[in-house]
Amino acid sequence: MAENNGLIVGVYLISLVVKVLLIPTYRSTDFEVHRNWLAITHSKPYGEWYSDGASASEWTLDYPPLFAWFEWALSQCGALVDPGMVNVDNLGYESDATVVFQRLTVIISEAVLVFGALFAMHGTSISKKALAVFLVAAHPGLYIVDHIHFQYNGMLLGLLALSIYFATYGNDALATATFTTLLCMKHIYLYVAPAFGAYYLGLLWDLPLGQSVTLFITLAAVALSVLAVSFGPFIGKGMLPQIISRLFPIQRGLVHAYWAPNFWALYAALDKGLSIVLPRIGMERFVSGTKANLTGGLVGMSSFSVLPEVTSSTTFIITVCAMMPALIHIIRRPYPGTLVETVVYCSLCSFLFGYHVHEKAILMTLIPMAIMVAKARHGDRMAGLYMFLTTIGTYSLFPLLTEPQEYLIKVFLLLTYLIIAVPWLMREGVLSRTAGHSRLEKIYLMGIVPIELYCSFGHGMVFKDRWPFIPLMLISVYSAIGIVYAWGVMGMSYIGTGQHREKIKIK
Amino acid sequence: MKAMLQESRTARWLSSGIVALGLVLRLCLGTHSYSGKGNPPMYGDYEAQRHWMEVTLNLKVKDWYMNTTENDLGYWGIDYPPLSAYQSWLSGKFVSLFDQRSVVLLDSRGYENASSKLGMRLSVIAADLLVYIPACLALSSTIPLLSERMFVLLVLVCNPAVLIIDHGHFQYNGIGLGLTIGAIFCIVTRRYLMGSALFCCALNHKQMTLYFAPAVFVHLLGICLKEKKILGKATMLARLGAVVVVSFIICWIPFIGSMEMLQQVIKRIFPLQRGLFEDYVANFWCVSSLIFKWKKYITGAHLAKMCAIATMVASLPSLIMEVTKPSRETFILCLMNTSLAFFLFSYQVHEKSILIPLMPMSILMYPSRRTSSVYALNISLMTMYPLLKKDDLLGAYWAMHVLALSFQYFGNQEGSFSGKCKLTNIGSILEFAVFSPLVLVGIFSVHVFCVIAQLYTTKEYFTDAVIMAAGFGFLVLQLLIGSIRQYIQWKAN
Repeated sequence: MAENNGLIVGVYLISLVVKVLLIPTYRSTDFEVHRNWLAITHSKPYGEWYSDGASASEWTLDYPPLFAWFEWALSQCGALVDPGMVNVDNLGYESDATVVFQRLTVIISEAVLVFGALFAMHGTSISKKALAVFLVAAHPGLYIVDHIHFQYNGMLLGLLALSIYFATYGNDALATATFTTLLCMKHIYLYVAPAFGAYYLGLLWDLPLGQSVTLFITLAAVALSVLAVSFGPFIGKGMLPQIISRLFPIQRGLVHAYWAPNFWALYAALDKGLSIVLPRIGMERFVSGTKANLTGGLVGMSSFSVLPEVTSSTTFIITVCAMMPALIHIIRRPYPGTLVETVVYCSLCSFLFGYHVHEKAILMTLIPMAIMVAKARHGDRMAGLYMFLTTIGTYSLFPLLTEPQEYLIKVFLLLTYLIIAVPWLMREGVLSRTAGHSRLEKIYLMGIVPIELYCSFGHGMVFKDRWPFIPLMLISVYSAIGIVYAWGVMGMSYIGTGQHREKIKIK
Repeated sequence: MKAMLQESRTARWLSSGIVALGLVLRLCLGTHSYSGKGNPPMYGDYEAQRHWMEVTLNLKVKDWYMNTTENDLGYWGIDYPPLSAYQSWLSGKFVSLFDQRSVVLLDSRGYENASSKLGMRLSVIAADLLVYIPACLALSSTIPLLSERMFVLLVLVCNPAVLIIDHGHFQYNGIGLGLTIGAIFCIVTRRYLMGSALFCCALNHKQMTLYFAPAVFVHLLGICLKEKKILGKATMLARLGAVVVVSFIICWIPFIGSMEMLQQVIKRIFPLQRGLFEDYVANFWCVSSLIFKWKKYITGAHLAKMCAIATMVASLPSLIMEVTKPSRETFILCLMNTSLAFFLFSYQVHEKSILIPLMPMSILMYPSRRTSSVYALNISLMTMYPLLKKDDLLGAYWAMHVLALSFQYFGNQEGSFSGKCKLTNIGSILEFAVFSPLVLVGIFSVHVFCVIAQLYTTKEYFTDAVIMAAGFGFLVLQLLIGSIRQYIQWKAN
């Protein structure tokens, strides 16, 4: 393999070519959502961006203000490309120029992620840097969610990576600034805020009082200034309550329309199963009369037939409890090298136990984990776990793409990634040939094939159009098992002695 | 031993990665537009291929090339040799699994549907998987150094120009090119009979492959003549001849029943009533007709003769060198030089024919044999710009340019652009010091120029002419360098 910087550029360019080639593929409603936001931010004054009725569209602005400003900046270019794009009345406007423009904004903004990965890999060999770029830039999950379905996760995950590694390399002010910026662009990253919080708590505890106070004041000042810059103008216009209600809508159900493969999917499946089985064995008194309604409904309305109710507060408590081992660990030993693991673990806890989680949130675990693994120096259990989690995580994203045209594309994006990544990780010594994955994991991953064959082909042949939720439920439940398992393996390392994990002191 | 094991493991990893990447690129290109999309009454090459599937599936073999009520030759009549027709039948069976209505006799004209498009795209990918990719794997295995082997595999399997024509515009060039690559593999590994059989199949799939025929013929002739005794020479020649004849007979069995049928098929494959060139192509006649209007002063028959003579003159030196001292190294050089000569001087050359000389050029891109630069991929792509613009494939076009550019980052071994190359002969010096930077700047300037020109004039022929002239200049240079390199190698043998 060539040992010059060209390799990194070559890998990135090829991943870029595939992204550009995906421009004409299926777009979800998220495309129109973002176009609408371009229109709102371009046509209306910022005081009206969050008002109801800012546009006739059903899609309202529900990301924090900095993302709105990002869309505003994009809309300035967009207006030059195709003025129709930024017209609030052009619902569903999809001219060729619009599609190319919006797709290119996703592709270009993803450069933040590549930059973040390279920054994280500072000081490693060129081959490892190229590996890191490959693992994030060619990640099939990102292709599916960002470049086909349409979202801006690449850029945001890049900011997350940057904030993690700014902190890891000792640049705490910059780390806080970046992370707060990230939160002000998409508040879902609150999922990993406890990791940062615990890390800095541990750090402040460790440092002598004087340094501690200085650090605290610096970080608080930085965070508050970012918040002030993002929310200030809107507070001035009295829009704060409106923004809060948009960011945290309370009327949603425990699970999304397609069950994210998390713990609640298993819980719901168990509930459904019990609601069918129990009457047959004469225990119908445990089954409540109302039919299970999990995806919508108001707070307080019972939605499970057999098992106890789950409120958002319950999920919050459970999530925090799940995170506890890792948080305690990093408070006690705030070594910079462990921040990324804690972030990965916390994001997985939030994914598994959170309220109304989207399946796309698995990327928040997978991408930082990819960088973590690329950076690992020796045969690491995490590398094998990463390949396992990425495979099942990406598979769980397949139902996002429903058209036949994208079917083979998504399959081969995943297969190509595995074909290239696994031997590469082995060559770098990160993934050892024997200790990488257990037999059980391999069998489970092989199990994806019959599941997929049934869901995409078998079910239609046997049942035609009846019970369309069964394949989706099957994929969700099967993936959930694997993801819960991965979480278990990660969690075990916190409860045990954790000797195999690196403790790098970088200051 | 351990090093060998490691190397074979690396080779397996890289080749499987390259093939997987090739598949991903093909699948993604398939989502783009194709030739003649939504463009009645004639549509384009996509509709032509669909129509051939319709004809071959529904009509008897003897009617495939005949003008009947059910087979109007005026509407995309079959004009490729029989093997193409058989392949259309196979592809048609495959496509009908996706959408039965796309190949219904007479009623499916202009049929455009998401499911039939998927079927058509996948049929091209299947053809690549069965023919083109295995051939590339075989040929690349003859290169000793691992990094060069992988580089050639990458350039062949993920060849931007072939990808965008086959999987964008829509054609089945992968089959003809794949069979030829397979033939080259066989000939280079001394399996001459198998090689000639495969090449005959390539000829019977697409007559454009005839551009390679003189080089193949001359190389095999040279091999025959190297045999020691006269009897040895004669037997070898006879065996090769027999293989060729038998291959042709097998392909043409249904059509050699009557003289009339044979003549009709040949008339369809070699239509002489077309002109000197169609649209814009980067060859001598098209570019020089900007200055001297050949078509105005010379009649058809004379034009054809003129082209034949020019082509022969341009390719003769290379052919003579090859027949006197045939060798593995000079064989591919000869293929490149003669196919370039044919492209530049033949009668009725399409811009898609650039894929033919591009194939040996792609094989010769790796450092120790370097005769053509990676930028040849970009230039060939550029010469097809007007065609791709018509097909609404410009997004894919630019992506393919970036793909070609990315290859040079993997080709940086010994003999790289960083100056560590062995500048031992004029060809190399010309190539590195002058050629490559010039080429990159050239492509960029040509496109910038076109964009600016489009602001001032709507007459597209102007920008197309500039592109063709630039492409022509490059190809002439390439022919020059290739000939010099072949001469040097010939002397050394």
